[in-house]
Amino acid sequence: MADNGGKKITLKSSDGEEFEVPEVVAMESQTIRHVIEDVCAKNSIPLLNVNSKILSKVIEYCKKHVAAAEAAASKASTEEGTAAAASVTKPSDEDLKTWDAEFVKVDKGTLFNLILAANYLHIPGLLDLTCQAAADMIKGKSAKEIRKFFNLKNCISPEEEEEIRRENQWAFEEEKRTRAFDAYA
Amino acid sequence: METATLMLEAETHLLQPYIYMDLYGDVLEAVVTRVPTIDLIPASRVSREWHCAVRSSLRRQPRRSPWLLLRHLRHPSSPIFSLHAFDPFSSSWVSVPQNSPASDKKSEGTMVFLCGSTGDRLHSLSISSMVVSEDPFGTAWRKETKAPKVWRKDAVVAEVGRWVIVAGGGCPMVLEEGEEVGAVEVYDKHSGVWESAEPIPEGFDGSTSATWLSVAAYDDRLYVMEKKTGLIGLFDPKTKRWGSTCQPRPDPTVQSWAIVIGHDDRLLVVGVGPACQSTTKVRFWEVNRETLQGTDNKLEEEMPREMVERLFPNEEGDDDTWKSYSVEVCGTERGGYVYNPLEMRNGVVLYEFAEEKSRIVGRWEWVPLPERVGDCWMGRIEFGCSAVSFDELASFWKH
Repeated sequence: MADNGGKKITLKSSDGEEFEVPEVVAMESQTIRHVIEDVCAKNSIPLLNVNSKILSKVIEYCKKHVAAAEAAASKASTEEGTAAAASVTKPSDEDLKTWDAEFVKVDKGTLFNLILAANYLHIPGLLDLTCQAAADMIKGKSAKEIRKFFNLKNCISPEEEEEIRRENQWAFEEEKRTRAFDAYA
Repeated sequence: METATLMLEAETHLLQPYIYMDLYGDVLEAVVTRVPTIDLIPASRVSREWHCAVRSSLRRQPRRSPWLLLRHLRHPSSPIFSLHAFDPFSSSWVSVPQNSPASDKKSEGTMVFLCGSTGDRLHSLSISSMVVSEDPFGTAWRKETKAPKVWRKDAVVAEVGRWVIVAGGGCPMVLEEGEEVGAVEVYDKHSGVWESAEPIPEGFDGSTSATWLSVAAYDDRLYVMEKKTGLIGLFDPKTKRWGSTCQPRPDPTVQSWAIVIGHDDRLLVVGVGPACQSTTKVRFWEVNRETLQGTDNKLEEEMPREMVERLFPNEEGDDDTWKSYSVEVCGTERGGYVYNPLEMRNGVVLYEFAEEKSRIVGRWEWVPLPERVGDCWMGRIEFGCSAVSFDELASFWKH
């Protein structure tokens, strides 16, 4: 990664730890990008909603993705012809996917906090990755198992649960349903 | 006693931080949007918050593409079958537990799909009755104790609005006076009465059975297409008459045809054949719904080469002159599935219609069959396609 004295930004976690990162890495977060671009240039940005453990993971993600993008861009410009470039970028796409898959192999507490951080910091790629990992954990579970997994307080009564069940009466395709009824008219 | 419980809770709290993964709002919706459709059912029952998130997600990103239904008969001698459903949103198969009339022997005859204007449905026709499923998954059945008058084998059966149309398949040996091989009968679901209709037009002679005909059902009409010649006929169940027939044939190299509903009330024909330089091509053309001729805009769409090669694999040393082509399509106004009836175990190609008017198909995807179906070489497969609603899914998902 080009570390040729590019501008550095300091990010401060909620528990007071400071992380110095290249500006381009920090700008992976659209929230931070707006702070840098719209508000006057700051040297230290406090992130009150993200603790040091999570922030270091987020930075790790951003660094990796910036590096991968730079590598792909430089390879594409040096290779002759798009076909050669495409065949060169493909293996690194796979590598990045593998890296991403490993990155989200964390305990559910960390994953949960990563989701919140990605949302707060507005990092689309990370939000997509972490939400997908959470969605994968919902696969095949019953309502009770989902509640247990997410440690949600069972704050609904059996009556309310039954009401929700009955309320699930909408169709994916409302137009299709209306058309079918028209034929009966 | 209570103090002891409190102390226990406090201790466990120290040992293991109790994390509430309390997702809510945008973030919960972002997670729910990525959950496979079948898992949305338990997700919607978790809490009121989750119920709202599921509802909101479906409003913002409706999952409208139709599902592929696969009926698998493991042994030809037994009517018991398994039903599998493919969700195009999450690209995954779901096995549907069966409680069909076939398992209680309430129906005779094999369950196959009929082409329906609200989606394909399992049905069986016997000499004494007709049994039709009311939903895509065979959880609710309607049994009509009347059967059509003419005894048929391999008839075309379609549900068009409030009618059920049975066409062709008449056996020459058992026909009665005045009955024809291409006889058509229409059943009105409201009155519960079968009525005779104009028989299949002459142009289709020799091909008046489901093996030779491809159908597309709208709410008010049925289109029938001869697979080899590409002749199209239009039947109106209200008047019980056929319109004029037409043979558009947009391309002479096509050897097998199929007809299917298009986006936005269009009508599409699909053709497969060896195009120039003997590469097999599968193409979609738009056809005018009234005149049955090619449309002015001459819209044409070609299936990606790699998917055509998987549907119609070329064996080494195959002599192209003997190659037999056959294609079939099932679909709704959002999209559908194309398959090769001679090699169903290979897999199926999903297509989704494009939003823009200048194109027909916006997305293609290869769909492999579930392993236990693909591996069972003796089994018989039938495909159907239907839009699926949330309550239809919920009805068989017990969690």
